[in-house]
Amino acid sequence: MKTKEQIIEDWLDETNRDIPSSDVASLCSEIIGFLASSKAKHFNHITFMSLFTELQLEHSSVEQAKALKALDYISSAKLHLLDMKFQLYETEHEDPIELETELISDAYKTGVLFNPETGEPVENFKEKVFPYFTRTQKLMSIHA
Amino acid sequence: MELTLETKVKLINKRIGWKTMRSQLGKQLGVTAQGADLFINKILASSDKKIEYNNTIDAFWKNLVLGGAHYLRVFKLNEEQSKKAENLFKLQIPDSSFNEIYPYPLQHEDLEKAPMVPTLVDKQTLTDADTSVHINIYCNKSFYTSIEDLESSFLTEEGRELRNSGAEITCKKRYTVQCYNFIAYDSIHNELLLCVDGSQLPRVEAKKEFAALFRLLPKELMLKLSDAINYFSCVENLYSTQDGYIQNVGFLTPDGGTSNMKIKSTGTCVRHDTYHKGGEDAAKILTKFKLTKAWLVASTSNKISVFLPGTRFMLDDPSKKLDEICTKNCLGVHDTLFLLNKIRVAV
Repeated sequence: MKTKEQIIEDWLDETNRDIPSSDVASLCSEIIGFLASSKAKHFNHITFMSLFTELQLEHSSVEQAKALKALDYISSAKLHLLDMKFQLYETEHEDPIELETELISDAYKTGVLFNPETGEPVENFKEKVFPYFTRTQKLMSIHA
Repeated sequence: MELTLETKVKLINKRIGWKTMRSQLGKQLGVTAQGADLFINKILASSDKKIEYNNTIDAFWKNLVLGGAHYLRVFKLNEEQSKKAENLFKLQIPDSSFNEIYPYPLQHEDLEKAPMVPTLVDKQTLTDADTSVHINIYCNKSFYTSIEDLESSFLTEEGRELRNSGAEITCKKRYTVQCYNFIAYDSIHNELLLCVDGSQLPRVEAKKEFAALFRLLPKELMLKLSDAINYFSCVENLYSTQDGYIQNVGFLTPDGGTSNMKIKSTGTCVRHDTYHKGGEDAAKILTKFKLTKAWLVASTSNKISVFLPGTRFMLDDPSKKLDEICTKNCLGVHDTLFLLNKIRVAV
């Protein structure tokens, strides 16, 4: 039975093997270390900028691009510590509406997204849909 | 036309509020009272001090036009832009209706005829060991619309019955105001500030004022309004910095819920609120996106604050900038610059 530290070490090794760019791999390691920490034990709704804030990353387009790649990998089938989900902002000032994976997947195929609360088609939906992340069982298990 | 003492005090009350006027202007005049009308009556009753009071009130108001509340957008300039920006502060002050009564505002009838274009009325330069700021002060007429209850005198009997049975009957009212906006150039930090009068206009109306001020900038600066500094990263840093008082904070909980915590008017800091502290200790991660933080200015014992009006949306879309901040309860431009310094450190 592996310890928590050994499990995290395995994840980091896997990351370094899979990602050729040392910059992105380094950021991945930082994110994994944070997600595995006790501070993140209850961190269930992870937005792009909330991660930036917690890791105190520089708010630049370069860092944002690196973070996108890092999160893409961490939520991919390979490492799968996070699930990527989507939410709809009809306007900037309202709370977002969570979207089922199937709904957003269909929307990208058909070009039409229906607001799950009103049933109405959303104009320019690609500009109004944003990702967020939730922890997978694999990640949550090390906090158990 | 010289304004009466009473009118001047009422203007100050409207701009800064009773509580601050009582403590700040009252301290300077040596006058105190429990209510605004009583305060004014005491001032008017002292006929032997009329000239002294007038001078004090005039000086207080002259500072206050660059105080109260302002919305700020700040631009970082490079060396070349800085040289070009300085030309703006060499302009001559033209004759205008605003100038005839400055620093006091035009009365309603004259204001209706005044221009909406920002008109240069005054210039100031602040210099000391840590400060070198040039300021151009502009006045212009502006409007805002407010939705209010329609007065009963405008209603028929049926209308009044409808209201008595619970209906809301409202109207849109348009108000004409005189704004004291200013453009400042801080040569130590190479920053250009556009400042819109928040004591006169609600934030939703500030956009057109910013656009009008922006049009005054030399085209050679090659600036865009969207180049204003993004202060979103300051929200968390200002919250964590253990000085001042957090009066209001908006945050995302670890489960994605949105919450807002505001202290009561006599409270001090959200960080000391038992309920909030308990939540923070349990949740560990509360991602802040909106904040009001205050500091007590030592020289005046006046609490001034800055509001960073972030939205939850900014946590999801990194391209969305928090490029407008709001200063409140300032007695003059020194307070505004004090707040900007606090934010600068937190970027």
